[in-house]
Amino acid sequence: MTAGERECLDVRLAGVLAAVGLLVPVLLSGYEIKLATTITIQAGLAVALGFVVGPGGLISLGHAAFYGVGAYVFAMMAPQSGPASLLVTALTSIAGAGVFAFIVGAVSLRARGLYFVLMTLAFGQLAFHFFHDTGVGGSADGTYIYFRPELRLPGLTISLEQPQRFYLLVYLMVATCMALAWWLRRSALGSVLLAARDNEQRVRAFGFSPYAVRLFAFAVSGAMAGAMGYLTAAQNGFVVPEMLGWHASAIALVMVLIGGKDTISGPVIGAVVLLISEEVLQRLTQHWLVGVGLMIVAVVLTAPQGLVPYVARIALPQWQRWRHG
Amino acid sequence: MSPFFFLLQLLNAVQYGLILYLVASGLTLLLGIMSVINLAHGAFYMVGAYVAFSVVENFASFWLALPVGILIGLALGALMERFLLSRLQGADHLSQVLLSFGLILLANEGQRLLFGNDPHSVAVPRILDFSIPLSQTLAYPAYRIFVCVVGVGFVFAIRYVMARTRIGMMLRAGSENREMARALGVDVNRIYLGVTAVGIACAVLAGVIAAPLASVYPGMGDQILILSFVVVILGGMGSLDGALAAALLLGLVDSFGKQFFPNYAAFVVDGAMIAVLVLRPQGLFRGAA
Repeated sequence: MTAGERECLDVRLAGVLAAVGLLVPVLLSGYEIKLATTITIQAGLAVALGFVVGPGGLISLGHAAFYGVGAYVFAMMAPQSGPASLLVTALTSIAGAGVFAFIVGAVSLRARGLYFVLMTLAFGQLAFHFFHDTGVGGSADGTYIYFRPELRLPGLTISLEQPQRFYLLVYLMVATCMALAWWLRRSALGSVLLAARDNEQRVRAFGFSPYAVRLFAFAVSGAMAGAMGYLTAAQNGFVVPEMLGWHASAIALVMVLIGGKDTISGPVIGAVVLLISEEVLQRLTQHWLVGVGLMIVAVVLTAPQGLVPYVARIALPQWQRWRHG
Repeated sequence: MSPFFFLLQLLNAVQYGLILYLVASGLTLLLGIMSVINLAHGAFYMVGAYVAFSVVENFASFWLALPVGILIGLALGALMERFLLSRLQGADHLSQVLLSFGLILLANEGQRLLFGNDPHSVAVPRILDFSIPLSQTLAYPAYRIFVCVVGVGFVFAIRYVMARTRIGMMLRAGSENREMARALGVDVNRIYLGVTAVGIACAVLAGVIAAPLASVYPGMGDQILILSFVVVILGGMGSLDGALAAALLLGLVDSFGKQFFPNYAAFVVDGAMIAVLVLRPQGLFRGAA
């Protein structure tokens, strides 16, 4: 299978996922649609992170901080007496997370390799301790949000309390993130980003600034993560500091890796695979994390590029050979 | 603040700093020599604490827990290097981060499976179960003095090994310039095996001796992991002397910080890590790289 065919498969997979996502509000209800909403939001977070980890080659161990900042901005803006305006609060959350990511990126991207990983870890913990210890946002207990935001258009107000409607909002935002990540990857900026990952010296020699391109990508990715934090806060009705901790960042990295960091459908598939296996294991045993741990170790050792490239390279060619005799 | 109270805090700072050093020394060697980022290092500290708990529970002897802990640590480290890390040679840091995160989940869940969610306490060995009076109202537990003695002994032992022995020379060479060490005939694979085994045994040993100081509880490795990373960064990756100075400094920040600004101590520590990474990535105590 050539690289072009692989990319074609990747885009087709993304299309299938988008179509399946549209069926969710028709087929599911009650607990299942809540679960589907959670999975879709986490898929969005994985898409955001996958964009810097894959084409950017930047291993961020602090992305949960952007996700959490998006959530906390909303929690602190939401009035206690009635629903907030979706457009105002969502845009503020996204902008807040984006600005924070820009600052973190501006400092961290001066470092390379291990130092970059540890720098993002340190920034993530700084944000975690800020909300955990200093009394802002309700300290260790977090903050409640009493109402879901509502969409206010001129002459029309749409409530999002109904699970189907809220799911559609989540779906639209995650689909937008996927489209944006895909478009950026194929744009000139994406080419420079990829080139800088593979050979920084040469990119510099061509007169581009890898730092500026990476910083832009990092800030966009942080803003997307913030949007997902916003949605999580709106869905759950509360925020806690653990949303920003490094465990949450590592889980997001796991989703990206399981699916495949260099693909567009991979992070979504990783989130779906991880969260659904968690759900299944939780019903089987109290000690479901053993299963998750084993799964992570198995993927790192056998399919380090992720499931989508693994399927494209090994499983699919075999199937084609079988079909064509 | 009375001078005795000050002395008490200072002793606590040194004792805590030495435990941190015990954990961080393995982490800094793994980073400096193998450039492996091991998030599971804190989990091995937890393993040590639970080894102490179960040995004391079953055999009523804390002293037995020390060799048992070291042996378990060496075995776990050797297994981890042979079956997991050696397969990742040449892979990027992402694989290491995720692999060690998977190990954390396995260790935490294994702990819950064997010991449950409740915190446990480990009795101080009887021979050390007394306090040394400092003033009429303040006394210092003898066990904490013992921890300091073990820590100081470890500092001298590791310094001796690094500075005076052939193995130490190879380790320093590997940390300084891996390719050159390999070219000069150092068996890098054996060095890696040894470093991982010893580094993880140190973390397990730290967990064993820390167990009687406070309670033993699920997920106790997470906090010490981040602090150990701070120690490694402040000291400069791969530098043992730097790590010692940084660990003692963090001990001071921890024991005095919690007295004076309890809500900001962790925040200050994270900020210090960022500041050092930005301004002096080679570490606080090393000349310009």
